[in-house]
Formats: sequence, structure tokens, C-alpha cells
Amino acid sequence: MSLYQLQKFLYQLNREEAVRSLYKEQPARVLGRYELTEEERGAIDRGDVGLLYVLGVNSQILMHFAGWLGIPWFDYIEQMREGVRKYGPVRAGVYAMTGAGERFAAEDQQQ
Amino acid sequence: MVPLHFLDPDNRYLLIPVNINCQGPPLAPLHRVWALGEAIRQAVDAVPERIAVLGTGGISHWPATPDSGKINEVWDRAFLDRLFRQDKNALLSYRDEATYRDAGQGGFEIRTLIAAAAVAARPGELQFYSAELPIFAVGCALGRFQI
Repeated sequence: MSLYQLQKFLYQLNREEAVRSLYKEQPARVLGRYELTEEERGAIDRGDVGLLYVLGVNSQILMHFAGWLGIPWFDYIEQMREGVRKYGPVRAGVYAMTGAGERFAAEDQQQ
Repeated sequence: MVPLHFLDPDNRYLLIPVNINCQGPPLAPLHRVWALGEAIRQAVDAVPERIAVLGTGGISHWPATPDSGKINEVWDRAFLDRLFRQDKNALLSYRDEATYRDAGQGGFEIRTLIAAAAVAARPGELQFYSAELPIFAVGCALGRFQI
């Protein structure tokens, strides 16, 4: 159930100012509350949105984490595509990429 | 809840939100969603106040994914046709696997619209549909049911 734990961390980071401020000061202390695999922990530490996407994090949760990291919207979209190229198809959940990474939004195509 | 922004900009009306999980499993079976709509109708009919019921949700879309902006207009129009014809059997025959394939994870949000159809219990009319509003990354529709 570590994907659940991973998403729980991201959800609470998204929602709770206290979690955010403590995470900025003492990330290990916050992350110690969650049972995460090394791969999950590494993805968080590096802000590797592409890997988090491939691991199955719900994109409605992930997009807020990406925003918090200061990643602009269409960069976030592209980082998910890069994640699939680098790590393979999405492994869990219901947010898998449907094709080969086509760009559907006009602003995305202009990137 | 974009419609509320326009319908009640000054926040004058008492609002009772009813949320249906459309984000991820376990998703409510559609017949339960229909039953929820019927229960809401019974509750509405049981009180003297004049009550408006809004059903808001997406049709086909792939929100916050690499496919953001993808829209299946054919699927959307078929769904809206079933919805406003009040075709209960056709509405309840959607299966999540096919919805995910054809309409994306955003397509799971038909639950809120099906619940609204059950509240109405009569056919309705599609007043507007467009798949050409890119900023929303979803086909946008507006309609109303007879009561």
C-alpha cells in the first residue's frame, strides 16, 4: 500500500500549511511518517514529477505538488511524458497516458 | 462548481453540496448514483422551499495528464443524447472500463450528471455543447430537465 502512503503525503502537503512548513525545514521528519519505498522517496526528494506520475500518483494530487514546486503547467505536462519515456508506462491507478504522448492542447503544441 | 459562480455570484442562497467520488476507485456503481438522485428528489419534494438542483461534472476529458486537452466529441454527444432523453437503461449501461478507454478518467464524472437526471425523472433539453473551448480542456455543455 505504499502508493497510498505516497499519495497521502502529497495530499497532506497540498492541503496543510503545517505539513508544508515542517517539510521545508525537516523533510526527513515529515517523510518518516509515511511508509515509502526507496524509489518513491527518491522521486519526492528529487521532485521527479515524471516518476511520481509513472508510479501511479493521481494527477489531481500530483498537479498541486508540481505547482508547489514552481513547475509551470505545460512543463508539468511535459515532465509526465518524459517520465513515461524514461521509466515506462504508468504502473497503477487510472491516470495512464493513452497514446505516445501526443499534444492535444494548442498552448502545449506551441511549447 | 463554475455554474454557481454565475448563478449566485453574491452567495445569497443556501447551498447543500452533494459530492460523488469520481476521481478513483472505488467508484459508486451507476445504479447507486441513480438511486441517490431519486432520494434527493424525494427530499426536495418533501419540503416547501423552491429548490434548484445543479448537476456539474465533466464528460470526456483527460484532466491533468499528458493527454490534457483531448476530447471525444462523438462520445460526448452520445452521452448527452442519452442523458436528456432520460434513457435510464442506456445511462446505467456504461461500464467504467469502457468509459476510461473512450472518455478518460474524467469521464467517470458522468455520475454527477446521471444523478441530476434521476432527480429530474423527466426528459430534458441540451441547450449548448462545444468541444472548441480549449481553456477548459473538456467539452462544455449546458442543458435543463423538465420537472
